[in-house]
Amino acid sequence: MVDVTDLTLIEQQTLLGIMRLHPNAYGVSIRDEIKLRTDKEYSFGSIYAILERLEDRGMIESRVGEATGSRGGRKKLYFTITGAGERALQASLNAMDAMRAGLKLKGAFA
Amino acid sequence: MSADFKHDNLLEYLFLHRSINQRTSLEHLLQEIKMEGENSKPRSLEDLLQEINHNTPMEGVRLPRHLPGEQGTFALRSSEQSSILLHHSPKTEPPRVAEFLVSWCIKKRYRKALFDDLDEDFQRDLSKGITVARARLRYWGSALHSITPQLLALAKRIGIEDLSPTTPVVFFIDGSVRVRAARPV
Repeated sequence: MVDVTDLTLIEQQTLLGIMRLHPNAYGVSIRDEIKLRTDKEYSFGSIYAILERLEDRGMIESRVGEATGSRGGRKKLYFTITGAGERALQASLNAMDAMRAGLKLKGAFA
Repeated sequence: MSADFKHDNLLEYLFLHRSINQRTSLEHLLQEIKMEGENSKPRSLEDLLQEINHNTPMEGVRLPRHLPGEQGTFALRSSEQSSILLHHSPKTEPPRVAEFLVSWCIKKRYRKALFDDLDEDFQRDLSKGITVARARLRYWGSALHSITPQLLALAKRIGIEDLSPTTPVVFFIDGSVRVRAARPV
């Protein structure tokens, strides 16, 4: 059983990025997706540290892709979210929503 | 060549139709040529380069004077008008010292993937027209920024508990390089 309380913000962002990019989520695309949507630029070291942690906990899986010309023949390492990962992410986001429910934050819309 | 291959310029054809517009290994280049058709005559590297030299009226194309070794690479850069083959030079490679630092600090599990991602960034910078010096600086920034979390984890493992990104030394090294490298182009 995955402990959802351990999902940090960057882990949530990474999991969401992997879901959005499916099936083309790899290091560069995940980093770019997070940067595009949150304006936060994480290093590859941070990204891969998170990916390692998520994979160890069974939330994502990795597979080596085919060699592509755009990377000079080098293969990409693709990541996909697992069922456990989706459940953990959902529970984590629900927990955040539950904490936020009913609060009026200054500057927030609606 | 396959029946539908009409282009006189082999290299340009490959640039335009086979998307080898990044730094491409010789092995991969030859593989692409082999894939063009079963009936094509076998091409050695020497034949290929002779053909390229003979058939490249493309503006801005410079070719290596000497055959690089099997591990050598062509540095390729695409532009809107045409594709440009840069002179084979160590300067179009990512900085070796930074690569060594990363290889030393990053765990083996994702090391190759991280290297390839850093390299993709580097080649993307070059293809955007950023100077090689600046691209190398940005590579340094990304490399140092990437190893900082690993160094912090290592420091914790060996018992240095109070080392964090806000520690002056770490902050200076990581932050200054990151700021310089991330400055808008």
